[in-house]
Amino acid sequence: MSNQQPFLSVQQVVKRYQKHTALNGVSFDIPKGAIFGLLGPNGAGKTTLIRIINQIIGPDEGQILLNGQPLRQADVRRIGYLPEERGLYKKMKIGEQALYLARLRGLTQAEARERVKYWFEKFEIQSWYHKKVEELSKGMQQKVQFVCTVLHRPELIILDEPFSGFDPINAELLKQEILFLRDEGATIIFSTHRMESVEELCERIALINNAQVVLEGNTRDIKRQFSTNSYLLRYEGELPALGPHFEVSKRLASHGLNESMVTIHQGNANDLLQQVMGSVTVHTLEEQIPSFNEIFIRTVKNQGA
Amino acid sequence: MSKVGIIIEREFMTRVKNKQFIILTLLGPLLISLVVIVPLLIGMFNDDNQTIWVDDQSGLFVNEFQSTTGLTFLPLEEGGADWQDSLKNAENTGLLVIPEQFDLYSPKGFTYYSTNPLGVGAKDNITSTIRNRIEAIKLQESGLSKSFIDSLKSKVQIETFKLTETGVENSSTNASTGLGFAGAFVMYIFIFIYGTMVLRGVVEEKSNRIMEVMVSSVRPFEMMLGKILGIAAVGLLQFSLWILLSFGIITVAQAALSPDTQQEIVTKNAETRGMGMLDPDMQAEVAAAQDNMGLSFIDELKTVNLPYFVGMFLFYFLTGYLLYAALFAAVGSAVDNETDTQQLLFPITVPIIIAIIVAQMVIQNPTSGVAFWFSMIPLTAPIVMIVRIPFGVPGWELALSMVLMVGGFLFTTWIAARIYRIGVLMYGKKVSLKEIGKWLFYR
Repeated sequence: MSNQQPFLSVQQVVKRYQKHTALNGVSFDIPKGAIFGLLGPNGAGKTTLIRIINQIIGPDEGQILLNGQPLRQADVRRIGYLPEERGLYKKMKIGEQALYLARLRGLTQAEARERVKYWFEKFEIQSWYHKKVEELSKGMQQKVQFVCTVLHRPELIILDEPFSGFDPINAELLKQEILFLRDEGATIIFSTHRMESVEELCERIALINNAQVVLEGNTRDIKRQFSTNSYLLRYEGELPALGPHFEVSKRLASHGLNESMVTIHQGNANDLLQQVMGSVTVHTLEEQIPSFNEIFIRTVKNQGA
Repeated sequence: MSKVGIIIEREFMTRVKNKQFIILTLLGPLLISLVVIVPLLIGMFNDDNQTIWVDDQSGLFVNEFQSTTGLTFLPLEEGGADWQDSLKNAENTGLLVIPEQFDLYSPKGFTYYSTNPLGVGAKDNITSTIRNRIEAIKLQESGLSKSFIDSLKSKVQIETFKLTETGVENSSTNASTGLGFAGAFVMYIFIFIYGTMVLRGVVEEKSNRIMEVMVSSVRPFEMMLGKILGIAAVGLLQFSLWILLSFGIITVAQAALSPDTQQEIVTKNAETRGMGMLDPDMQAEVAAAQDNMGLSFIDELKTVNLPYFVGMFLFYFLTGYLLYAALFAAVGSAVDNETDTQQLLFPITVPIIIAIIVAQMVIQNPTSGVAFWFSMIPLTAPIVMIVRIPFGVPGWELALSMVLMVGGFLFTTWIAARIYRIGVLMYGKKVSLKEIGKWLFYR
């Protein structure tokens, strides 16, 4: 299979409800083996899109290709979906429940049993097998739900807010598992509001706002696109006048060092260094990279304006 | 196994393993059997002979009190001054005192003394004896003979025959009425019990938020179908167990009790047994158990084609349940929790209640226009038709009704599936009927 062909291709998807349009011509591609961040404020249309990918509902226009083929009902077993609003049967034993869900996704009884055993051991939750869901804490339930999502070795894993309800230790465990699944060849769609996890995990993102994709691409490229070319300069001495290509705002002095924020309108960091080297002793020069949080907020606000 | 199969299995197993189901399945037959056994037991414990001394001071009741099994009447010898002491020491012995003078037109002053209270049967015996005697005295006074009065009373009995292709069959209105109404009543209860079970199951899935996990692997329609069929299997199992266990318990109990008392008790029992108390199959079981008793009601039951009736009952129960269960599932899918179901359940419960009301009219006249139309409308047919069946329904009417039933449940299932598909993913909104109507036309 060529690297050119995206694993999942969302093409011009439109979904209208009676009073509003949930998705208005949404398109993006996800390469095989990528962790893809699907971002957007509440009500932007993320859940609708995820439901369309899961074939829970159908699009009004457009199509979704999996490996170049339009999605079919049978593809359900290639997808693992962890919804944001998730639950389990309260009165059912954990183990039986995992078996049940695995079988519904097309595993035989024997396969299902073997996978449940594997994952329960991996998460060290074998001792919960005969417990009922109502006896578990929220975080424990989340773990079980994650296991149920990946039991059938889906090629495409869709995780909607997977970290909610996890303590830092288990969140780290989950993160490792997500990376592990990626390394095993799975493609992962990751929908969340937690931008720090987006930065850590995602190679590509799509930001949806008001039913449209407003930002899409490689995370590094996006960061560069949003870089303000601002640098934080720590130095000893007094800065000379830098000319029209640089905009300086002096900040504070600490520990005997001065700090200035310099925005470069033309040229690059080397030009800046060359200009100041004669007058001051440079301690550090650091590019001010916007966080995804800032990018998110800025994009959504600009869009709304 | 298909996905629907896996769902049916889970729905069935979780319910069958549930303590509540096990308890109910065992308690049901116990209750049904108690209705039959308790009178038998009462008979058992009551067979101590009771002796009643009659102190007839008026002299009007000489030899009027006839001893029966379990009840012996003896005239009191004169001058028994210490009767109070002897009564206190004697078990099952009482003294009936009839005053020397009493007003025939408002008889008073009859007294009974005993260490244990007078049983209902014995009391009935005494009062009717006194009443009959007083009536006879009044008749004498008025100059009319008793035989003349008796000749005035007319007893009319109609023997009914049903014309069939093979000839004339003895048919019975009593048995048909009892069977039909019992069938309709059981149908009504079952549709409600298992329909509600479906409703609860769907609401549980929605309020636990398991729905979204499920709908990503299974189509909502498959989910709904699996649940409805799984619960249907639970219903059929429970129903068969009830019949088998009740039959078993009653048979054992009857064998345990002595055959002598059985004869008389069962006769009494059959008289007091309410028509609607037992379902038709139960009645058939009882009938079989009491085969040799020669009860008239049982004889009448035999004139009805029971296997045919049971077959029809199962058909209308299954199609009727499927029809209503789909609607119950649709309502469950539209709400967030059980308390919100009331308003939406209203349009579903109304036709069931109408059907049970119409059934009572249909019993009076099973061939009327009302009977015809309500046994054609699929929403009311299961209950109304089952009332008509023991009276005989023309083949074409039955066929048409059955076709309509199948069409009806396919239609409600289709409608319910469209509501369900939207409803299961709709959270946090209280929906109105009007809104649900709109869901039908969503793509």
